[in-house]
Amino acid sequence: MSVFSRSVFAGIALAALVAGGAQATPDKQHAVAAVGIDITTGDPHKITGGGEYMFFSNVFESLYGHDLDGKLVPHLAQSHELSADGLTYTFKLRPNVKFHDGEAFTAEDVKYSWKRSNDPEIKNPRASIVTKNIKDVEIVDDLTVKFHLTKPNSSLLENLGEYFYMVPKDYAEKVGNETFGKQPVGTGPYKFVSRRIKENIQLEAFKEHWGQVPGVEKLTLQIVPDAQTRVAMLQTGEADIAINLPPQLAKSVDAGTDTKMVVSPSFQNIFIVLNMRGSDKAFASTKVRQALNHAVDKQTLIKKVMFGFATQSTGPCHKDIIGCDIDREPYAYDPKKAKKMLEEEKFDFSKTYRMFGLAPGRAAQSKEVLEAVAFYLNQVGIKTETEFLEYGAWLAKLGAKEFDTYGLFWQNWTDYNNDPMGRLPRNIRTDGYFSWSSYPELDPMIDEANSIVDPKERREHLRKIFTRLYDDPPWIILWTTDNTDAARKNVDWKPRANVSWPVFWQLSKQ
Amino acid sequence: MMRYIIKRLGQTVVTAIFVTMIVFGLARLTGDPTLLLLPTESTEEDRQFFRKQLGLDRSLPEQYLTFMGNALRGDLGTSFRYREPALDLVIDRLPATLELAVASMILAVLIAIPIGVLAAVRRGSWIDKLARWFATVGQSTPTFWLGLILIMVFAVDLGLLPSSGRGGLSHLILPAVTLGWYSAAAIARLTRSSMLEMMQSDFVRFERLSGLPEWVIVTRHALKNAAIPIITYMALQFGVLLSGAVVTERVFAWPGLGQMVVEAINSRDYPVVQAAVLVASLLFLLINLAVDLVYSWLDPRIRY
Repeated sequence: MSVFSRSVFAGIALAALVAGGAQATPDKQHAVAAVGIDITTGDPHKITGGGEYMFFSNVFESLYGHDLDGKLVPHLAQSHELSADGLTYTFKLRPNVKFHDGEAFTAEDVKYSWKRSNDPEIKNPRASIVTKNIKDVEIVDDLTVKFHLTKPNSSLLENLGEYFYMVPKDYAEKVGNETFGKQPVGTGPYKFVSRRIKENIQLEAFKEHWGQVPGVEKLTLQIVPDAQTRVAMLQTGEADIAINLPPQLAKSVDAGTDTKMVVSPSFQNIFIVLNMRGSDKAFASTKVRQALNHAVDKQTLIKKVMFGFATQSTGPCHKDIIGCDIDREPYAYDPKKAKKMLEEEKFDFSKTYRMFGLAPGRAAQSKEVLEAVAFYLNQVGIKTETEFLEYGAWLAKLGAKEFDTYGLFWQNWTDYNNDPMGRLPRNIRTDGYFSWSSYPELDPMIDEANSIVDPKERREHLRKIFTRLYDDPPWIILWTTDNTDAARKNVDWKPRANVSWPVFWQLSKQ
Repeated sequence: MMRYIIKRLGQTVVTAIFVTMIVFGLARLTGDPTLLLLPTESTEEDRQFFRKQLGLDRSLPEQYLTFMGNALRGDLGTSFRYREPALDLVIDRLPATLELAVASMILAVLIAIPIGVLAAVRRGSWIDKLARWFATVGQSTPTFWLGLILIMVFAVDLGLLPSSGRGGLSHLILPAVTLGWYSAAAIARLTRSSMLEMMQSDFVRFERLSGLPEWVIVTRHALKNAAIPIITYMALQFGVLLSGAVVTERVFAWPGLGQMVVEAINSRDYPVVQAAVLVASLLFLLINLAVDLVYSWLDPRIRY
């Protein structure tokens, strides 16, 4: 063989070796989901943000949770009873439930999980939602526990699934808190295998799960920050699922021969907050705020800016939130009416109103939405000046409450389940951390909402609050966004409705 | 020479201390980390507790002295976000960034030096025009765009290479080309101009008159003398590659230090920012020291 031929052959062999790593080998039992963010810990009592539930909702469970359609269902409990005064919950636990290490789940684990959740050393940032309000957990027998509450908490059942996960007492005590966070053990459909920070999380189907065993044996959550790259991985087959794609990429995914969009509703609400507490009282008037709701064409924004992946809201939340199914129609787009109302209220058109929003990268189309709203406000004569901040600065601005500097700002809020009490105190109550509103007469109603034990009565109570918040809107009410995920066509995946994180309980590959 | 090395090492340490002071102060100007570390349900009491736990309730000078005291023992603090030692997180990610930076630099040099030399030797020819075009286009191409285009063509359309992640050689090619493209263009331009100067010098004319083959004059004499500014630039470029890797790492989901630092800045994870900048600056200073030592090998007239 000549030198030339040998060189050519070597070159081809090298190219084959290099290119051999190009395409993923299809493996029906192993699914790869490309996700944009990583978790900070594997410890369910140290969850810091909503994005982390892509891990926790697949690995951990609570006594009650939600099914894939978003309905509240028993999980590790089979049933519950509530005392007439609303202070004692009795839970009958599901028998034969195992933790991932093979140990049986019993009432001891429930009590331990409660204690651990309130452990000052761990300082669970979410303890105040559920576990702090539990005065004591009484073990009646191996499969029966009683929660004794400090005061009635009608949100408790809805919030268990996101705020109070069960952990194994024996294992957690044996390994200690630090190791538990690195090698977590739960009862969920997937068990933790390993993790490389900012690279991937390896999970395995838990074959002894009490309910649904996933259709794949292994699941890799691959951390891929760039959305375009997640799409590319999907198109090449390196990923089976791509999570949280910007809506403008949906067309290219649907156009692919092997890829499809997987769209599901969420409870992520998008709105423009109107500062009711500025000393200039610019947005204090109800009619002014109603006018602004008429000034913005929400349907056009959904079509053109959100590419159709949103549902216009009537009330200040999704209609499936308890009490938010109010008897009203969404504010119609009517700029003439808006202008007339503003003039009648002697709105100051000479002033320029400062608005702030979230810079791109964190929430889909956050910048474009605020720019478009500014356009509509300009059309009715309102002068605006916008600035965009990265997430940390935006969050700080929200809490800083510079009432005399900003008139409006973009905000999102995600309800984690059907109960609105995660939001109302923080966003609407006058002293709420994120509240730029002022409804003195609603504050006691908000405080009272969790004390009402009867569900029908509570729903009606909340409906009154939300109806008021429609009639006297604190925001330009926009929409709830859809989850825009994607998958290969050979993947059968049903995500959970009404959450903003991927749940992989029902997942298989053909 | 040894005295010079010791003196430079001493300067390196002093510079590193200044760098820590600057980064320490700048990191804390970005805002309150508890806003991002804790969920929105947290109360002010929760935030205060975390500030105390993280030592952020103390005065800045006190925090700095504690940090430096621990740093001298090799403890650069614990990541607020991941609750792992910050230095461990940085060291864990450094090899990936170095791998990418080194591969990019090798690629850049392999492309740029021959192009620059040929362009100088064949001045005015089509090779020279192509080289100048390459230098212009290369330096004006945005890294982010180039990376995505390469992914679309070579991974998605042709299916020849993986789109992202770190693995074998095949995973390294696209990110290395993306990152090295700018450096290759810049080095090619510098090589051309440096070689042009050398080719017109007296000693080259003398060597031609002596009858030495042109390729010997170009490669063994002119290039060696032209190398000093090129190597200086390469050393500076290495620092740029380390920082420019941020964009490339994001596009290719390359698990390097750049991405981690950006995330740490965004989440106000001070210990990781401090550790990463300190390690990167020490690396950069040591590379520059190595380059200075290489000068004396290239040019015997340079003695320390």
